[in-house]
Amino acid sequence: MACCAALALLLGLVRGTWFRVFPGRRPAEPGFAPPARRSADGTTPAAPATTGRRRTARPAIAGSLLLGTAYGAAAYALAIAVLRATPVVRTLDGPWAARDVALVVLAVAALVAGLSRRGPASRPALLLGAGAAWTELGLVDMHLLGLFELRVAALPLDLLLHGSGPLLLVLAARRLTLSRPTTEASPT
Amino acid sequence: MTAVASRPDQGTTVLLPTDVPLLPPATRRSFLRTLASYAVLWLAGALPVALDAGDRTQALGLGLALPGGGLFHAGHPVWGATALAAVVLAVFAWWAAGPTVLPPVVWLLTAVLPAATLDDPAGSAQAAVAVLAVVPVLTVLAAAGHAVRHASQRGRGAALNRRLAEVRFPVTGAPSYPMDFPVVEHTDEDLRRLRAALDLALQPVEDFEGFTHLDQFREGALRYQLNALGYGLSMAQFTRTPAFRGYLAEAQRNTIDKVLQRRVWGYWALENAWGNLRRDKDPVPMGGNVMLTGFYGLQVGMYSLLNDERYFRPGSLTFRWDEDEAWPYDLPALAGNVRANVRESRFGLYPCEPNWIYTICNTFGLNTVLASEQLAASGEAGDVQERLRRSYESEFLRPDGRIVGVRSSHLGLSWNFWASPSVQLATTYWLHPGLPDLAHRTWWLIRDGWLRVEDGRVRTPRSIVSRLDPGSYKVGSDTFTLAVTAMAAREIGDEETARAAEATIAERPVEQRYGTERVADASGLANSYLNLGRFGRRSGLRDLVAFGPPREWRDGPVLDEAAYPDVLVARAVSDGAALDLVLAPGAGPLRTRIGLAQLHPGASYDVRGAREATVTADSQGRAALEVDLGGRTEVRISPAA
Repeated sequence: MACCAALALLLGLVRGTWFRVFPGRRPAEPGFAPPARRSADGTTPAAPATTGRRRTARPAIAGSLLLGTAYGAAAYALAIAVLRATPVVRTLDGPWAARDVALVVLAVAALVAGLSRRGPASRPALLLGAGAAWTELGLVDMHLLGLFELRVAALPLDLLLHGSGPLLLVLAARRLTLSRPTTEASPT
Repeated sequence: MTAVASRPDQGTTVLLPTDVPLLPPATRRSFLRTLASYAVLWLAGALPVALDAGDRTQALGLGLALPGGGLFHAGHPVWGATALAAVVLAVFAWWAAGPTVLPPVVWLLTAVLPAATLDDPAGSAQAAVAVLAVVPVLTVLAAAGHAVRHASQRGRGAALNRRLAEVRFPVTGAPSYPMDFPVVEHTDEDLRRLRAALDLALQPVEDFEGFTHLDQFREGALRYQLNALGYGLSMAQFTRTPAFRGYLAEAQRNTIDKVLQRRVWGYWALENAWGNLRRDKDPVPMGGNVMLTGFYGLQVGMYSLLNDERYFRPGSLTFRWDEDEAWPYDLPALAGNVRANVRESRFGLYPCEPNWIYTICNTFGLNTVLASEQLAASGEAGDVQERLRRSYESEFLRPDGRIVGVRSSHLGLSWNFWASPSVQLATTYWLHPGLPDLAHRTWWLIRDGWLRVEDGRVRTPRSIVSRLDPGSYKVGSDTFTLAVTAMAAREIGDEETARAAEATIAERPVEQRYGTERVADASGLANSYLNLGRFGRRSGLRDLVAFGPPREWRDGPVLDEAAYPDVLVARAVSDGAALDLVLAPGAGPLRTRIGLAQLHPGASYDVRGAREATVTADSQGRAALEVDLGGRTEVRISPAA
């Protein structure tokens, strides 16, 4: 069971992070089922007729974009910090302090602005924001400010670093094109 | 609360085996194979170093001898540690979901990538020797540690045996009718808990509202929730309402039919592919998946013993993948699969997830065989029982009596913490029908050193292990452990501990809705196991699974139709000729009809407690009565004088 516990903790952490990023995906807490009914002869009485439809709340696109930008910037900052501690990356001289401050300001501002918008999160918009932030920050750090360079396997790692942002953008675009109407049946 | 049966006990002394070897035979074979396989990898690392092959070849070889070895050797300890962590994580994923290919693939990648991409993969000779020494040294240390622990456990086992020699375990034999088949009445609280389970089970087969939806691989999977839900309903029928079919039997059938949904069992196609490298999706395979066949077989078996034999018809349990692919089974076929797997396995026990053998899962396999045997004798149940007994007493037992919870069939390895008391608790309960003496001994060991009862409350250790709810993977509450404690204690006959566990749980908050009730902040799995303990009785599972209900219950008059939740059935029992019912309104006072079945066709019956004073069975042995339900109402139908 200790291994179960370790697995449970790991799953809990992953799920917690996932639902912070995509709060609209959090499933309802399990518990009670709808009340069942059976007539005396064992048949199921007809369900009450559906009398109306309601429109679900529209997702907050702008808020989700900002949140995605904040998450993308934070993930990028963390990834680069880890990479710099390894032999893969060579750190170069440059305006690191200004860059760090700007990065924190960007992430915090986007987070605060994103959280202040009401409404369920839009997953494509989150992906869009995160992908854009990741791509732009990578290009600025490496090719505009020249803050670091890749020491080993430069081409594949460069593609991986800069390509993951556009990959998120493609995923976001795909999900946007697959969006469905937001009406659903409402029980009486 | 269920009354404790008063059958005479067969006092039995059960000592721990004194000859448990350091490595039992099947385990030793797997372990030696593992060592031989690693020796090949080690040579692949040592030879390039010894022959002074190129730097990249040495990096590759050292990466094969130790995950991250090439990186450590080249002076990149952070990357080396990352590579090592990746392989450990892959092993973890292998254990969690069975992808056997993952650890070797990750290991290979951590060897190949650095060798191919490092600008300067060279390292010193001393570093190479250090990398090559790590696994052999750790292996020797682990073996020495195991030998020391084993010797210490043998000492503890000998001391325990001196005390066990003085203990006579009250193992119950075949029950006698009627004295060993007590039928008690549901309390109001029982009925509220039962209604929560009925609502879950009676929703349309394709609906899963109120269930936990996490993953379909581990303990939070839908199949385990459905199994536990079915067990609880069956146990309620066995100890409270054996003569009631109606919506209670339908609810059990629904849980059985839900398991046949592809979303419940389809995980096996994936596990079989990445764990056994087989494309076969059949969920009743040779060599594994006892976590489905064993658990499900017992669920179907309990229903069949109490109600009817519809699941003995060929194809009655058909696992359908799509329009083209389906695998038709029935209960005897599931039991036959378990028997064949036990015979074929060199461990006796066989795997759940590919490669991973769990002792708890195999108790369900044995129970499936026993339940099926009551209705369709194969004559092989005794052989299965003996093979499993040998295995539980050698390959999966420590000398101090702790059951080893899991073992890798490929590697022979286990983890010590998988011998934790939580594993012992559940195993005690599910082992009782087939190997009651071992279950009693295990319970005695739990009560001797782990579980404390103080002031009428159970105190579980404040460890993470006892505070895990495997139905939701949440840590922090010991409700699940207490549920299993109540189940095991009641089944074994330790009513004091069972009541203490229930009293401890009773202090937890509950949720109520629509006349139903469940323990709050506990998973659906935990709530179903709470029901199983609540509705259990001494040797309840053993009497049902290993011996079956009395013929009078199966063939006598039954209440076959009642409206839900208008008519709650608190007690229903037949003596083979008469039928006694205790009914209660579930949705306010009403006049309602109830349907009876299995009466003697054309026979007249006297009726008490209904609007009719007499009733005559039709040619099918059926009849209907009208009942005014204003509160608790007793109804008796007996052959006319």
